[in-house]
Amino acid sequence: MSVSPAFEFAAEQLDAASSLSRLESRGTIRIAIKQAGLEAHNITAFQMRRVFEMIIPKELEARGVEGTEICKRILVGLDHLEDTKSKDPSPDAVFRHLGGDF
Amino acid sequence: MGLGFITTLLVFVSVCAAIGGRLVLLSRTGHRLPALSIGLAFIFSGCFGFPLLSVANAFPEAMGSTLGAVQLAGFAALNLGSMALWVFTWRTFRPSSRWASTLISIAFILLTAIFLLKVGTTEATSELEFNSAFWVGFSVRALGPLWAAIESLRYYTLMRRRVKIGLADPVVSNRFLLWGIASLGTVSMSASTVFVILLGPSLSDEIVELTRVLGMIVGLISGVSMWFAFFPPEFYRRSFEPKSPTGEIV
Repeated sequence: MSVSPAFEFAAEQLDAASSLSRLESRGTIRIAIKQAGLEAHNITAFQMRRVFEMIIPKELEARGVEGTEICKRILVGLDHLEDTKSKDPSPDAVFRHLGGDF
Repeated sequence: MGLGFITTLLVFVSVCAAIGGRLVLLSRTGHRLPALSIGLAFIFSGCFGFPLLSVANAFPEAMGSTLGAVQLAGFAALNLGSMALWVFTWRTFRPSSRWASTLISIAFILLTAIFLLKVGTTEATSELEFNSAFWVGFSVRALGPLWAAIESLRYYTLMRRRVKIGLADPVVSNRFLLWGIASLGTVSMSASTVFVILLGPSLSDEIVELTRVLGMIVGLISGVSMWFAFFPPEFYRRSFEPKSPTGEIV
């Protein structure tokens, strides 16, 4: 299954900056985004930021990697990453609208 | 049965008209296809399909020579409502999925074919027949809310996790749970219909009555869930706002 640009970017950065292998980097991010209730194919840069702020540091620590600095650098990169605009709205955007919340 | 039946039906139609009308109007302000399709699902099924078939079933003699036509109109509306619900689930949860669009196409073809078959075989005064065509149509219509429930409850589990890290609104998250419950309620009511049709003659009056009461309770839960999902009252919204230790909303 294809992954979003935010996932691809974060995985490449983590692979390059940490001692984790490519497979381990991607696996760690997949585990973290699953914990956050997000999906690799449509996670946005904004959502990935939150995952890197709140979940990834603990996941890296659990794997014996000091992740604070690495996460900070990746967060800066995510700040400059533009999401590709999806042609379909997300289910939460639709349900927000259906309840009258704009 | 007369007055109670008519009252219940009128309440049901009014609730469906209110929710459906609001959703159709909302489709003018964005998310056009999902909002329009779910609104039409409420209007076709709740305001026309279900009431027409209920009246035809409850008062076949009073219908006289119009019975067949009323039944056909009821099935047409029910099928349109069902198709609209299938479209809503597809466009909301699986807009780019090939298997979902295939599933929808199969459902549409089956509902259309069975309806055309019914048009060709229904006579003016014929009562509802529970033949194989009826059951195929019934199953397709029941699978619509089942799919909606599965997708909505699956998404609710994702939304709950997002809420914990501040990536989702708890009110919107809860809306998926409410829609899942409402859809499951619709499936349960279909299941109880199957139960009564298949085992009806062998069931005692107490069991039939119990099934009817359970159906009403499930219908009530389903209706309240739909109302809270699409007409969220202020007290319900406020119940999700963070509170201080003293109970004040912060």
